[in-house]
Amino acid sequence: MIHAIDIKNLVFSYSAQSEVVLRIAEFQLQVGEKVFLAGPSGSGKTTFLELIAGIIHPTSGSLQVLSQDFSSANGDSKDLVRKNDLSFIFQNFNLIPYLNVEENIRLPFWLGFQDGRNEQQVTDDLQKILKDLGINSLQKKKVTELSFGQSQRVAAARAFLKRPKLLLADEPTSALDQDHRDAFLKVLFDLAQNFETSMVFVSHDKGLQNRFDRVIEIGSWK
Amino acid sequence: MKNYFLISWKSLLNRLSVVVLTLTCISLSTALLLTLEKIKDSAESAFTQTVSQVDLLVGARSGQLQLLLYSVFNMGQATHNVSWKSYQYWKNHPAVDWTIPYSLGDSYRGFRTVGTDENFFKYYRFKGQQSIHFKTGQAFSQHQEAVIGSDVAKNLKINLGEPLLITHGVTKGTAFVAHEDHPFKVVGILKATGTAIDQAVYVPLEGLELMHQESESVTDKSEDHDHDHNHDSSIEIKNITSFFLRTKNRIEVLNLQRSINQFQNEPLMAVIPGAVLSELWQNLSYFEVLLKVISWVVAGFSLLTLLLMMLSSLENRRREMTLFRALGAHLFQIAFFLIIEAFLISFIGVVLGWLISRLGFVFIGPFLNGTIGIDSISWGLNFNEYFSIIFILVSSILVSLIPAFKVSHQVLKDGLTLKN
Repeated sequence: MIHAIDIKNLVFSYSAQSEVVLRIAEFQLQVGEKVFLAGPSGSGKTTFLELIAGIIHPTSGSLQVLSQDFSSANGDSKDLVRKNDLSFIFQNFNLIPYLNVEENIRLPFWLGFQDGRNEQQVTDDLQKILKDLGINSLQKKKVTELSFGQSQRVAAARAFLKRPKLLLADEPTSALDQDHRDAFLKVLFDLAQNFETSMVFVSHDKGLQNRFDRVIEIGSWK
Repeated sequence: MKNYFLISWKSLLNRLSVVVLTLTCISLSTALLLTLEKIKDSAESAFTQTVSQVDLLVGARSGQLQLLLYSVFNMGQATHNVSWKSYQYWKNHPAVDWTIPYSLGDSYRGFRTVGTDENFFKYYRFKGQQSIHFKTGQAFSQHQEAVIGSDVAKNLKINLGEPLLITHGVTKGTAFVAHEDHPFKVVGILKATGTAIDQAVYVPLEGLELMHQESESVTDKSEDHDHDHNHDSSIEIKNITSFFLRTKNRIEVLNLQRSINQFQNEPLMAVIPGAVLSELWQNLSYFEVLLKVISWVVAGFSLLTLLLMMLSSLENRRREMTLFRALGAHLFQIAFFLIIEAFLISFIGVVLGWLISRLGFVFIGPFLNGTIGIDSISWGLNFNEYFSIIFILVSSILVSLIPAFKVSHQVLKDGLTLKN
């Protein structure tokens, strides 16, 4: 695999009549690369993430995610890639409120994710990730009792327990204060390093951009 | 699969109050359906099997229904009697196995008096094979002994050994013409049967005849009245009202019925009780149909409640559903959650409903016994009950397809973030 994401002449609009939301002439994300995608809200960041997630498809142009063709409307292979190789961390509401911390982390496995690890290996990996994130004491806790920073760490634990090839993070730190943000970013980077996960990090907080391999202004694409 | 149930289960627990309300609706409507089914069954069997294993019921020629009503249900009056001679003729007919004579027309404080003989205790069957049993005491053996049905004993609080003053005609309250000189002594109380048997007083034919002779002689002011009439072989029975008959061979029933109907000596009529009872029940069953319709309407409403609960929860659960999708759930999987949810609720609902209906019979049953004839609680389900339960389960799954379709549509629209 050469690129985690490979885009050429991509155009997206919600219908033939409506205006173009996103236009990307060329973009490649290298395997293991961490890209900071900057832009104000409404600039098409969410649309970009949904294209990469295979939830919507380009109006024209080519889009390849993890060497799979994401250009067409046909959804099955995209569903499979999303299930098996992608992980998400959102700005908020990452967790199912009626499941506890551990159940939330195991949720992808319950929904059919499987990568050959057996039950015991997954449990061991879960313990290790909880420890790495410093939340091993929260394992059986209700997620409604967590602080915001803790919730984001649980979301990160879930994202990395899958050992994803690609992590899509949508403003995951924007509700955290400076100290928590730095700490959170550090564990995120360590985990990505560990699992050789490529990362697209969307944020309007330019104070973070120096830590990334590359910074792209979403406005420059249009 | 286990995990789907676990997630749905936790999701339901998270919305406990509205789920409990929906469960209540489903379980109560299921209980209503099952209870009505049970009551209908019991009422029908109590009704149509008030007398069983009797091939023919014979009385004076009148209406089929009339003969049945006064002989089996103690309702109405016989217009004519059957002469003792005719009765003897048919009793000794070669095709006849046994007969039970019935002599009606008197009462004890509102309950019918039935003059009969020992064959009644020996051969009378109801609800299939069930025979008459004594709660206490035994059958009469003397002319002036009586056996009473369980309702008579319960309602009038009569114990063994107490005297009964039979009244001529059927009246309630104070006797109009009481056979005061001729009290019967209670020697036996029958076990409850849940049929009309419970509501009568049984005395020997001879005793009844004697009582009538005496009341005539009392009006004659005959002085040399002798009360020592037990084992008096000279008592001559003139009439009975009707009799039940069992053939030696079932093949002979129709022939015998025809011969009795064409009997030259006296205008008689023979009917097949089971057939007439079933026919009568069919005529009465419009009420049962009405009850059934009402209970199905109630079940329909409970399914609407389920639909309402699910649809109203969807808006609050959009984020949850988009998250499931981001985590790799297929649209079908998300729709499947709602179907499982509906199945869980309706399954628990029908199980609770079944428990409520059965426990209802355990607790209220004893009070109902005798009026609708539910004498044993079966925890199992009959065909109609299985049908009702499966119908509710399947309907709830079909109903859940509406929110399931809606949610997959919504999730598709929402993508990774909620869009309006």
